[in-house]
Amino acid sequence: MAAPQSRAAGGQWHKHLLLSPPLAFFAAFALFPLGFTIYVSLSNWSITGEHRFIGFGNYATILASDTFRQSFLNTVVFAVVTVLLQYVLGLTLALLVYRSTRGQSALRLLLLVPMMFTPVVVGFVWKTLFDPSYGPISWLFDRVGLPQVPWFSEQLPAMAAIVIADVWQWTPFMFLILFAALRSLPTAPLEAAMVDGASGRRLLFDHMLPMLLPASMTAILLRSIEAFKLFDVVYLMTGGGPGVKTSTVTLSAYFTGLRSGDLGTAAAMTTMLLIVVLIATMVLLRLLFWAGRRRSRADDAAALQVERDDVPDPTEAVDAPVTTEVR
Amino acid sequence: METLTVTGVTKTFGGPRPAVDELSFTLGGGEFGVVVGPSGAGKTTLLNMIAGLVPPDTGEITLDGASLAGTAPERRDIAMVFENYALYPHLSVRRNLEFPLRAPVRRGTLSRSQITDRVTQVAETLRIPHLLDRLPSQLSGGQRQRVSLGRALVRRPRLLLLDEPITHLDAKLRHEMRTELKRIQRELGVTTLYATPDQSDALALADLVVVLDAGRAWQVGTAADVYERPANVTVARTLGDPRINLLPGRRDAAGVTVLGQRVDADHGPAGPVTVGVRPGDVELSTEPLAGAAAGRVLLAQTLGYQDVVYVDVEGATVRATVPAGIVARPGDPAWVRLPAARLHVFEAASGQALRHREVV
Ligand SMILES: Nc1ncnc2c1ncn2[C@@H]1O[C@H](COP(=O)(O)OP(=O)(O)OP(=O)(O)O)[C@@H](O)[C@H]1O
Ligand SMILES: [Mg+2]
Repeated sequence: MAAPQSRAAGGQWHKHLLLSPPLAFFAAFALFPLGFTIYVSLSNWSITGEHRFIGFGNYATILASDTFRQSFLNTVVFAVVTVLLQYVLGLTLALLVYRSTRGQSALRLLLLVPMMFTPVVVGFVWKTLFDPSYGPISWLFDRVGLPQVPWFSEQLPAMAAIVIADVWQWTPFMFLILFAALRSLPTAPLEAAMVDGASGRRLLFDHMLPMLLPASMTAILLRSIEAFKLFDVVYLMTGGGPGVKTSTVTLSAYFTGLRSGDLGTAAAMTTMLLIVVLIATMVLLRLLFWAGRRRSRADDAAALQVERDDVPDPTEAVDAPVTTEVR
Repeated sequence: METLTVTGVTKTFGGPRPAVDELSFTLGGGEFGVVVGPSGAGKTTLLNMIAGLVPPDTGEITLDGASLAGTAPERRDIAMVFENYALYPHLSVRRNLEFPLRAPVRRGTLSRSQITDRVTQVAETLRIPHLLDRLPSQLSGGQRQRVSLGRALVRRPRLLLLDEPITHLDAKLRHEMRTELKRIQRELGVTTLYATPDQSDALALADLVVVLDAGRAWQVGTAADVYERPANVTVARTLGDPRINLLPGRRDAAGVTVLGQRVDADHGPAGPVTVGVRPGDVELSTEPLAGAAAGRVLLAQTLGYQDVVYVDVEGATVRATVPAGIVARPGDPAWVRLPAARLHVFEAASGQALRHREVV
């Protein structure tokens, strides 16, 4: 039947034509910048515009650079620590609000407020809060009798301050997703677990958390992608300092590319980051897929397949199954 | 052997009438109780209150003489089969069955191998050993129901609650499971309360039947009590298949008039009554019969071993069962006689029984 096929092919062709504007946009705004960045990372492009292809030279340079290595390590540490803290806090808050019988909607709204600030404001506010000389936190430490912490002049306190600011801003995101997931959990298995003798902590760890797994993975995935690109809060609070002790890959790329004018090296840095994010995303997506598949309802075809695989009960041999008689 | 008592239990969900209304009954230790009633009668609500998942508004529930109020569900040691299975979606069938035995309140009471043995044994009884490594999502409805049943039977609870545990099985399996359930219950000697809309479950299984409708217990008694001596029209209607005939009639000092015929039964003060007669007690004839009302066959259904014939008599439909093979075609004339000894008579307004069928 040639006619319907050629018609189908014609339909395909039309589809492609109709899809071409968005595809062109995608090419122009996503693929081109990506390809261009990779090209730049392989050249010695500087802000003055002169450039020459130099292969993997930039990559060799950054891998040998202590600054980049420090920035890279910081980025990973920030991503892991902030996302984990955000998850634990978000989950705790979601459970608390879920259990609370009163004021749920008010609490929900209040908890979302930090997410509505732009990162610039968040960075500025927390920088002020942590300021060693006039910041309220230093004042509070003083009042309570705790020793003064050199918030921005030593690596660990500075990193802690950044983590706190980022966690403050993004915990609401985790809270929101996990709270919605909690609300949509089926109640019957939880009731069954209670009747079967589980309570409190066991109910949470044996039943609620496993059932929350797909939502948890999704939230963690989304936050992780963002966390690897951490920039604004660091830029505003410490500027990467002291020295480059709190610098991140994005910050490092910014200074190298736009401040020092070495676009090639900066592009190599962002490409490295892209590769890492890609790998992390792939691993998390795998986990998410796996978690989702374990729970998903078998579709009808699969269920029928399952039925046919049933081992026939030997005691039922007397009543031969109807199907064998038909055959 | 724990006695369950339910005293004056009421639960309102905010609707115009309570879901469970002033319910009272006592289920003796080791007995099999069946709560039978149509959809929306309040069966699940009752079971949830006993399990501790829904607090009653008023009334008291005791098990083994001690009130359950204030005892959390996980401390009640009650097993329950949920209407919608309520399997743990993230655990395999095996882990589902193990869970009650591994639950914190019972931790350490059974060894690993004892748990495995119990699970294997229950799986064999319920014909699901080949499903142990599947996830609930990979099971058919009937298989899920059996896993759910297994999860309740795997431990030795003080009380077993079953909410329509076998309604989703095919007829053959349902009958087998019913027998099996009764056998297991006898063996374990566990006090059991079973909710079902299926009257035949009630008659087949129950030591005690609670007929529930619109949240109220219309009668509590043995299967024979509720079937032979229904206390009111609701109970008469709930039990028996095909359903009892309920016909409008009049009673006076001389007897009862029903279907235009005078029947020598239940003399009493004059007034309207509802006459109940089981289809099996109706005498049906294709020839004119003394004292019989004339009518016309509407429909004949066969149940295999017997036929149900619907006869239109003066606008009322009478169901009669006859041995299979007696040919009755729609439109055929038929005569219906209601034997006086077989009639239940209910007061028309209240539905309360005035007289029961005589048992031969
Ligand atoms: N959580 C609830 N909120 C409001 N109304 C409810 C709730 N649970 C039950 N009801 C109402 O209470 C009544 C009894 O419900 P219940 O689930 O106990 O019926 P049932 O006898 O188990 O019916 P079925 O045979 O269909 O399962 C129904 O009218 C139902 O609408
Ligand atoms: Mg129900």
